[in-house]
Amino acid sequence: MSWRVDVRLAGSGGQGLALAATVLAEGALVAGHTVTVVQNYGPEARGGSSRSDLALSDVPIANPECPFPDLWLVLHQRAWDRFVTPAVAAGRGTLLVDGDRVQTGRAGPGVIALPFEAVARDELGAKVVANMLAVGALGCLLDRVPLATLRAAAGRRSPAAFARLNEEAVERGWAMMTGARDGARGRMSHAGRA
Amino acid sequence: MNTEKRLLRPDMMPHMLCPGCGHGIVFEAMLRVLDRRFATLDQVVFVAGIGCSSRIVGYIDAGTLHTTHGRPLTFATGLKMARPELTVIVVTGDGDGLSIGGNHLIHAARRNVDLTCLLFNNEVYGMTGGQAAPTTVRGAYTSTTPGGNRETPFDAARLAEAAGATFVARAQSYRPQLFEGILEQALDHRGFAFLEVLTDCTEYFGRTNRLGTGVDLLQSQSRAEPAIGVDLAARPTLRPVAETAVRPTLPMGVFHQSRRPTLAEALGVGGGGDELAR
Amino acid sequence: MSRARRLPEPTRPLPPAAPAGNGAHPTLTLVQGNEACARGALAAGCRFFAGYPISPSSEIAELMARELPGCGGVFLQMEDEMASLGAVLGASLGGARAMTATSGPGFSLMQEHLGYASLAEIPCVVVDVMRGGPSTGLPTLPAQGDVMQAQWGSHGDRAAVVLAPGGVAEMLELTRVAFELAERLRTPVVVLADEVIAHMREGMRLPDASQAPPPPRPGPAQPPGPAFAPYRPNAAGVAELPAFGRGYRFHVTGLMHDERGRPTSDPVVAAALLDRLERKVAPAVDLVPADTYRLADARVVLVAYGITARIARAAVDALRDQGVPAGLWRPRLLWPVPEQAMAQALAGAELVVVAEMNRGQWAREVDRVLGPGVPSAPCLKAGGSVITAEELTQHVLGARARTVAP
Repeated sequence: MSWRVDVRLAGSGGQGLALAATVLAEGALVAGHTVTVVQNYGPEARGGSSRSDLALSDVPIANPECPFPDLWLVLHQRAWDRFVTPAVAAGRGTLLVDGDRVQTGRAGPGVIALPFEAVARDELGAKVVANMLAVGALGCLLDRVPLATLRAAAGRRSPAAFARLNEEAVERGWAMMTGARDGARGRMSHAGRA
Repeated sequence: MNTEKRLLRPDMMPHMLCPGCGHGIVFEAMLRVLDRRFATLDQVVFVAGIGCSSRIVGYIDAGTLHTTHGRPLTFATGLKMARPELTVIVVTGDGDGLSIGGNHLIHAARRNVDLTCLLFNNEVYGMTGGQAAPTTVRGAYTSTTPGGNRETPFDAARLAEAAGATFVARAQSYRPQLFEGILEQALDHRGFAFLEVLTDCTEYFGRTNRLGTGVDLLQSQSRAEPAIGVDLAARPTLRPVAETAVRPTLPMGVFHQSRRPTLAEALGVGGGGDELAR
Repeated sequence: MSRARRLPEPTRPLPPAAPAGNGAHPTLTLVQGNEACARGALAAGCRFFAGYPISPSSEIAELMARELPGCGGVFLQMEDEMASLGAVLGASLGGARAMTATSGPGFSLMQEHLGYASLAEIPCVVVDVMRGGPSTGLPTLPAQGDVMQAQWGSHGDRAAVVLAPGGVAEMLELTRVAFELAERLRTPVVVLADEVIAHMREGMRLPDASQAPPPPRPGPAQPPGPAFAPYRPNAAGVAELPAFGRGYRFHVTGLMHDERGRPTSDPVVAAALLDRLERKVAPAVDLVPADTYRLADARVVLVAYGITARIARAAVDALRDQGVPAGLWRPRLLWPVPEQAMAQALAGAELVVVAEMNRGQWAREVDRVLGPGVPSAPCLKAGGSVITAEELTQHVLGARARTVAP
């Protein structure tokens, strides 16, 4: 039985969502999965909300668009307001958000809030690596790409000046998700379910 | 004409220019220049659009490219980038080069593509039956301006200069020797050389405006030169200034020449010749 | 980490993780469709690109602008699409392998020069990344609405060669094939892609960049001289024009012409030329075979190309899961229509479903080849979104219930 996991990454232009999607996709590719990425662009993306769809599978992917994601990453309120309609929020997907940037209007099953931007700024000294923290957290949730593979993908895909920092951020983001999971006292039946 | 026969394609004859057409005079003068300059036309490519003037390239035994209406400069730009070593001469008309192809003209001038652009201006669409052109003078009758032209014509030379042509000149069929000299200079120039040449359409423009025979039309061009115009001012049938359409007195000669990098130089193409087309 | 963070209840369990980290695809690179197209062109020896910015094709121009100067090529951003294809044809007549890329509105502007290139027999590649139309339409959304334009957009009876890539890897492969066909058949070849395939990224094997480019375009067999006839066809019906400035002096025109290239208005000569131009592109149908999926025993045959064909594969699986003997025939060459191969592939089908993102442009061609005997129920969708596998599956089930006796 083949499988497919759909991930949608949404945020504001400049938050590095496209790079995040690329790093995740490349990590998944190296890990042996089939992967596609599409993103919105043009006037839809300019100065507004950025959105990338990432599909992972073990077989060829038919439609790369992910209108019903299994897993969301939302890093900006504007993206939440625009993409996460009430129907979506009530749907089957898991929503990973930056808790400082996004007021979800609800808590409970299906929403994980982590302070990516705050950790990036306060612990790693660069707000811009919040996207790589999110990559690490997503990778941990997905449980389909080993941390080392994801880390290496981040290094390869980053500008040279940011390669080390981004690698660290992926690792730190992964740890954030592990910590959150441990904090939840094993409420999930197995790590990586979303 | 014997020296020029080597430059022509006899099997393309008879040509399709009308009796009295000014293009024939310009064409012959052009052949004299080619004869003087080129031992062989193997490395010369003529690129033309659509219209009476554009048809003449087919009569020349060189590389000849008869393109689409208004677009010869685009083909010439690509050809010149692929083969910078070739001499490229674009032949266009006032409708081809200034109306449908006006955008390409200003951009080729702006890019300073290293070629010679020869624009035959006869103020009218001859090939399609005498319709108004963007160069038709105000008041002139054409088949699409039955009440006289209400629009203002282009000054092609000033347009080309403003767009960045690095050689800008005007000549006329009335004085072929002047044209030959300017064409020589245009061919010597490195960069976009724009040469407008005023010629006459006897069959349409001349007839519709009752301007007389081809010879009358030719002589009327001398109005462009006030010194000669004085003699002809007494002939009222020739474009009486006050009453009907008249080509305004236009200066002739080389108006502008400057040097800046050609497109190939700016792109660093062409040092070793034809590297694109190994 | 002061905020309360609760992990979700698993709302939809993921399937067990595949063995990861084994580096199963060490040679795969994540590549965008438009990038793959440009890489294919470079690998095919393309050394001249002229284009005008337009979504969703601009990445092709951007990559060519970066890459061409480094390999001795030329990139030009022209003033419009007519100029772009004009410059491409000029460069090609100089002997360069040349291409442009555009989308719907720009493709419309290129139609006159496509016709010119066909008649004057000038090789070139034109990539059209289809977007929603007509007019400015849906600049960033997918469509497959230029299928008829690619064949009939230029006035007159043009013998078109049009390829339809079905994925990122095929964007590269078919762009390369487009150059091969263009050079061999001396004609413009169109790569008709869609926005989804052009913009998606997926893993593919990139060709070895150090590979030597193909040899230069061969000149004509005839020697230069007064008897040289540039449009005298070879045995394959192809006129092999030399490049300008290679010792041959000849005339190229968009007027009907004889073998010497002289303009003619002789109806017999003109009709023979049109015949030859159509005959000469016919071998394309054998050079670009269609792809199939679970077709061998299929009774319900889906016909789709581009992104729609990928989705149709999923629909075939879904239909098979429900006991419907479905299969896919995926043409990679849309024009000339591979009539014989299509007739063979569809022989024995009890239902044919053409799926395309337009209002039935290629479905008409399929119906024409099929004739009235076989039920045909095209699944058509225009307006800027793809046909989903669910929609297509439901469509097939509904059509089957109506047309196929239980």
